[in-house]
Amino acid sequence: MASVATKAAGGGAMQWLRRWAYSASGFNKLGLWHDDCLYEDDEVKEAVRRLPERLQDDRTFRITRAMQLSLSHQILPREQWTTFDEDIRYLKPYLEEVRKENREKAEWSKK
Amino acid sequence: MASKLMKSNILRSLPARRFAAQAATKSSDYGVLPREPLKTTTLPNGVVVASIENQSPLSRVAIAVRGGSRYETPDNRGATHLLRIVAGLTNAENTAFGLTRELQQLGASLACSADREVLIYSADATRNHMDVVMELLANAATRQVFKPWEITDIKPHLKLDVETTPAEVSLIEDLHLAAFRQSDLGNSVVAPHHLIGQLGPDQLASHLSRTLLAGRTAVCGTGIDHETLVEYAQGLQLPQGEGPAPAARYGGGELRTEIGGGVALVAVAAEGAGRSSATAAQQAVLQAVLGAGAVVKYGAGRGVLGAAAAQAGGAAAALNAVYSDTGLVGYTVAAEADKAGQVIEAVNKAFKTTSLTAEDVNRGKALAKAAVLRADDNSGSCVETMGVQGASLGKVSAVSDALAAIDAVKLSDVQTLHKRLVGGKLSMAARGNLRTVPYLDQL
Repeated sequence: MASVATKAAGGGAMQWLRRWAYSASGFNKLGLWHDDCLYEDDEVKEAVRRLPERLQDDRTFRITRAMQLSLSHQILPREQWTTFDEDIRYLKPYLEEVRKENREKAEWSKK
Repeated sequence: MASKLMKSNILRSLPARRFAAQAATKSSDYGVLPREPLKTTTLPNGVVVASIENQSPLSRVAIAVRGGSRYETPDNRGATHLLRIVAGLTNAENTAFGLTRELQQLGASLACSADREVLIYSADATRNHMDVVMELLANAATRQVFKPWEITDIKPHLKLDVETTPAEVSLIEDLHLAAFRQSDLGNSVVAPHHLIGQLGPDQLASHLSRTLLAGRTAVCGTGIDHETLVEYAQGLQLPQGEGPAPAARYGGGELRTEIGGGVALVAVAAEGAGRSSATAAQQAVLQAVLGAGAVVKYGAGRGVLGAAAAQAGGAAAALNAVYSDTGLVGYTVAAEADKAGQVIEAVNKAFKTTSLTAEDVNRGKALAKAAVLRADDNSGSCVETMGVQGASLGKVSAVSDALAAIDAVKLSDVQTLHKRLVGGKLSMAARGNLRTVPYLDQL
């Protein structure tokens, strides 16, 4: 799923393909953003811990709403689906930093 | 990680003797490093650079900033205490983990200390590693990045620090609050307990943006070449600006904190002169005459006040707190709760009515000079002194100037100073079991 929602530069055809793949993946119908769907391993957990409180609360709300929809076998009305443009990779900078720190620790423990 | 193999004495002595014979004929590899006196330079952007080459195997460098607790605003009270604690956390170039491991790998140390006037980041290392360590120091001191989660994780440390503040430190903080009231010197170096919750990255950043400026910084070192240090200071990226000016107003008053226990601690002081004033040396001599602590472990206090207190069954020492524009001169007393009243009466009487003789003043001068030289001898406190002078006054004086100023003190000067002090408005702080401790107006 990681490659689908990235907004890297590409030709018009690539952009169209990305948008199509995003709407085909379906998590936006539950109101989720890409970074809400990441599997919560230790690095993602630490990155989420470091999020500012507002972003954490928004994430929690979206996940809770999606779980409720899922258990009642519903999806959101079309106007509330997450769009390709509003889906921001909010966790990416924090996750990158956690990964960089873990790499540094691994480097040091090699010595 | 080196492991030492145990060799038997016989086997070890044979090669040692051979090498010793060889070493005798070879001259030293590095030559003799010349000892150099204090050298100071003021850079065009206002940074003061000072260094002494004292032939020490360790190099010490400190970056001192005129941003102590007196320059905190009501919104960021306690920022300097938290800054001291977060000095080793992630900055723009190093992570907290990386910084710690680098320092350990080099055998270096990095510390941050602060008082009311000055915040000092200092590092020391063996000479061959000092260039790397100086870079780490510059990152820690001038390129802080306060990560919110790191600050939150370290808050319990701040709480522990505040709650385990020794009674003597609290006493002196109370004295400053009583003397200078809510104006800048009344700000404590310990973060106020009720304000710990509101301290965060914004408060730290705002304190640094107001005070971490080129004109308020001094870079000092011992065991380092002056040109190297000047180049290093030129490489520091510090913004320009004036920053807040000192604005202390002496009010006088008293602060009593009853916490029970078996001991009473009391401090009394009058307003004194600032560091650059002509009477600073006279104050140092007066403090030494009145008695600045014991030289012999478990010995009774010396000086006029120490003797008076010992006779009454307690302990006393003279207090001389000097800042750039003003100061506090007085005494501190520690006594058992029952005897505290008598001890304070005796010490106060000695403080107010003692008549100083030429012999007293000569003794005071000798003690004051010894104290200055002792501080200079220890490279840690030497660097700290240079940093405090450079950051708060904008210039660093050599030890010989200080000794000359002490030598120039005359008996009449000290007597005038003493009369003026005891005639002025006093401030008092008391902590402990205060049932026999008199109030300020009863003294």
